[in-house]
Amino acid sequence: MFVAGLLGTILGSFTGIIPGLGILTAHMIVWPYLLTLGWQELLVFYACCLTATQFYGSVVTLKLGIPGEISSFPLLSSRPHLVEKGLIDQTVRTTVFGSAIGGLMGVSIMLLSLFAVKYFPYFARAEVLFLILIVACVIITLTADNKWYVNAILIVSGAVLSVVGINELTSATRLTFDNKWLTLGIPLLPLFVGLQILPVLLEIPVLKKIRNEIKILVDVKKHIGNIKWLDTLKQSVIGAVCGLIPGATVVLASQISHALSLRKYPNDHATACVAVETANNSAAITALMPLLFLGIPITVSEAFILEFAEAKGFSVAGATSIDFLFLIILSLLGAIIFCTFTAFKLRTYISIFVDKFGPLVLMVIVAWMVILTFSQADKLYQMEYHGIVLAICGVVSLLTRIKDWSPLLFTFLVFGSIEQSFGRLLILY
Amino acid sequence: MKKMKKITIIIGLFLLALPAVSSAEITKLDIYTLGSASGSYHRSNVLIKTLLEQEGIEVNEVKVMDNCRNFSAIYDKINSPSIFLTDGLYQGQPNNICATPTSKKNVISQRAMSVLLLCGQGVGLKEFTDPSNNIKLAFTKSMPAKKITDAWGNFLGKTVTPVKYNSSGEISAALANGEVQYALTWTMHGLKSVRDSNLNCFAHTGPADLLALDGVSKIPSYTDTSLKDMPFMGMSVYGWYEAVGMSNKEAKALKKIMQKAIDSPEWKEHSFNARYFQVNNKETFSWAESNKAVWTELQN
Repeated sequence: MFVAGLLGTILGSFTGIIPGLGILTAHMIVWPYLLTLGWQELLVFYACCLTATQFYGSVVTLKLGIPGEISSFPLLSSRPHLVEKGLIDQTVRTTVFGSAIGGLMGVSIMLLSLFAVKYFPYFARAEVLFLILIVACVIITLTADNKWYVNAILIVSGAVLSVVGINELTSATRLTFDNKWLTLGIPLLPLFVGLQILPVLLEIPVLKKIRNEIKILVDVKKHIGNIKWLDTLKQSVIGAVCGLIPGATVVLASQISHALSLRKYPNDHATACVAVETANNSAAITALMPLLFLGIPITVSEAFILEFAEAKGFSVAGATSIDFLFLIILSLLGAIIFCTFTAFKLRTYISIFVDKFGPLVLMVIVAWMVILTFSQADKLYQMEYHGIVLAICGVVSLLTRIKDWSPLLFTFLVFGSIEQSFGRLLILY
Repeated sequence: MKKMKKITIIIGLFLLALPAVSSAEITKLDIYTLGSASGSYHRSNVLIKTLLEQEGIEVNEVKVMDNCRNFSAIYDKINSPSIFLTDGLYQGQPNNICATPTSKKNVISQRAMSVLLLCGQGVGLKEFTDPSNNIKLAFTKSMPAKKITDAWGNFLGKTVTPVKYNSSGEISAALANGEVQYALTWTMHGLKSVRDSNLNCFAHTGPADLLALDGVSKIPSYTDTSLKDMPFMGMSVYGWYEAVGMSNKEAKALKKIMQKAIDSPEWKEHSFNARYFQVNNKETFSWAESNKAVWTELQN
């Protein structure tokens, strides 16, 4: 069990550091190992892996401007401000503590909410889902790092792009203009790489600036001193609630916490980054609860792991036994402690490495993301289509020089849920 | 002497034919799955991969197409030896968006039939058939829900409202939070909810009783309930493997190997655990055709 937890944590750490390596892909890579695990070990492995991913995503995001994981988008909008003030390295390290506090709060909330397990499915009600996602869109429009009307245009664009193709619920074809490729929908990876990753190459001069930052000593007390405890507590609770929302979880948690933090402290981007890390760590843990305690997966990777676990004898009765609860909480605490210590040190090494080989690392990651995009397109026999999407998005991003694409990417990811919950509302009431 | 010459020619021709026969055997192939990485189709394919590898075939990759449109698009383009696990569910959809062509030549093996379960949370067959209360019924996204509920509403003499969800997990949550009272779910999702959430599954669309996961209780076939004359209750999904990107000879050779895999104890155990209904091998194509007909009628 210990080994499973440790290996899960290590895999999660790699998943967080390497952009584009999602948790689902990571689990598919270690598939043969998963087959050897029992259901308890499998869930411990997954829980630790998920927790660990949230510790590392911010490193490459802040240092290189490439989102390490999907919940790191909000950090991108804070990055230019931190670069300007020479706060990148300090923030990279301080966010470790945000992650740790968020994780610990997530575990505490998990314990406290055990008595309320039966209410978890209410977060999936059409009206709750619709309301929360709409509020999130409004908050993001008002706070993302562009002019408000640019954010509004981006949100609408994200929604429009997400409806291209065939609606799987109604089988209706939308915005395809009789084009066979468009019926497949707009692929996420080339869209994301084109808008967010390719223009990063223009950031190479910025890396020099980061390199010239005054080196911050590894002073734990100083970093803990930077944390606003009451706000961190609030962000943990926000993250914990967002974690229970199907399809949104860590993405929603990070966007909302970033927006709310900047609303309270308009120019304090370091605090906003800590808020993001706190909330998404808390969300990552509470997102596990419907899976563990009700057998209801609310993310794709959870559905994947549940199938494995069920094949090995998982049952809700077994997962809610005191023995297993004790085990999973202990494993999560172990993963958080392990990640806090290793991440703090590891981030320092990664920072030093990036400072030394910044442009090279940046180019390697950009090349890796482009290769990843084309290899996925090749598997789908859609090289031409994905290539065109990538090129168009790259050109649009370079021409518009929009700083923060997160409103577009957020709505692209969640608009399906908004539309579906609205459709269900119309049917149900 | 003449006879000797003839025998020599026959042996010579036989020897010449040998490489042609052996080259008809596939040594490498890909497997494509319609469905998600967490689905039962994928699990079936992982097992088939192992079983084919035991027979000396190198399976490059089990590719998961969680989007039926991608699955369909690839089907038309593939040119390397591959097998596709597919079913009739998407046949007849508007614009043929997810349909793959099926012919006797293409179908090389059966998977088995899986059925749909009709279930209620805290309610049962009595409430379902009671004409005085209108009901809301959950479906997964791939189902032609409106046509089914319209027909059922007419049969039951009340309004049956279809509510579509993205996944079985969402349906479980909707049943638990009271958004819907009933659901039409695929076999294993229904059976797991019976075990974990006290869901009451009171009929299924297959021909005989279905054993629950406790190994004791059984879910009756619709034919044994008052729903036996309700339209579309015979709908089920029949999975089959199609050979793509290979010659007829190669497909024929692969068919034999696939049959060996399907007859293996490992596959039989998997099939039992997944609660598939087995169909005689000879019936494969007619099942696939009739299955296609049901879904085509439903989709149009």
